[in-house]
Amino acid sequence: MKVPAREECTLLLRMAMAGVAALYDVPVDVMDDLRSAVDESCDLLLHQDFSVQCLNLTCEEQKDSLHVSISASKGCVQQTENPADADIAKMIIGTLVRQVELDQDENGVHTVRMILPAKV
Amino acid sequence: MHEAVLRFHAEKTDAALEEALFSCDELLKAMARRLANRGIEYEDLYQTACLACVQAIRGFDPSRGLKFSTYVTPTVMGTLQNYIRDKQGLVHTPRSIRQDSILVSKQRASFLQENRREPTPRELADRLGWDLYRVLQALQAHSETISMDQTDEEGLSLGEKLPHTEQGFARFEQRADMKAALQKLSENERKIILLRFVKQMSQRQVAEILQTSQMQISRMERRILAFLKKEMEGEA
Repeated sequence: MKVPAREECTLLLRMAMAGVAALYDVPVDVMDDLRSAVDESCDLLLHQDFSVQCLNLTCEEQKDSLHVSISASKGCVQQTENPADADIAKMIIGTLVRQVELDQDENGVHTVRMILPAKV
Repeated sequence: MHEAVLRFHAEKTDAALEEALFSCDELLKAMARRLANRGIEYEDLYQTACLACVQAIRGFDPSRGLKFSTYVTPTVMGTLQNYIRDKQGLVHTPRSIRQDSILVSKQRASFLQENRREPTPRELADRLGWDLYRVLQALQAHSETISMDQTDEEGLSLGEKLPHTEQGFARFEQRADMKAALQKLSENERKIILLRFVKQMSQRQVAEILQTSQMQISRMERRILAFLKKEMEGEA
């Protein structure tokens, strides 16, 4: 799913994530955590040293886990006044999902990858 | 945060009130940021959150034994949601969905009690005889727009009905508290925590990177963790 890189549009990603999580039969509290993880991820991606045109949410089922990726399509490089702290964001997201990885380059984080626990 | 509010109740001075409000600043900013994507300016939400927090500080009753953060978070969130509702019709939820949301909450609580685990949306749908989409809509409405103060037909608010099962606020508080606590550490201390708990390195590896001894890292880690614990419990 691809949405414009605006804060109000991240609500759509939260809803889509909740829908996928429900189809994947995760418990309701895990679904709430995932919504928060998507929020934190979008917040992180929207506050890097580059402009963002779109946010992309991809969910893929692999064996017994769900792999979620949220990426920012990078526009021009620009200094952000208060860039998000990637380490703190990773720590927060890490409390919400089993595993989280950040893909970054010299301008900051452009992709957040998360893995959900095995199906119940 | 809690200690500062207790000090205000002991002293009742403007300076103590200001200090108590300042101690909540990170939490208030986090809540304002969280709701700032709903068409209202962040600054307006932050100001509203500060006013609600001052009321909460004054109205807090320490003798009830609650942590202040447990009291202030739903109070401020409720005020912010009411403010958004008053300012814009964007978050209006149809009555039928609000009713569905309350039924889903009840079913979720009873499922948890019977099975000692959270239900999946599909299990809720089965119990209620609804389709999955309706359950998701109700859960979404609950997470996006239902005020903790909103009462059902029995006059009970969601806050009163869900204290043992709704852990969203607690987790939210913990994350906000952790963020604030981490920012109080020195750069080196934060590096130790990140290398140890985010990058999962051993104390010896961290010691090599920071060019010190493993014993020193161990001592620092214990001290930092004790500091973080105190901060998150509002005792530092």
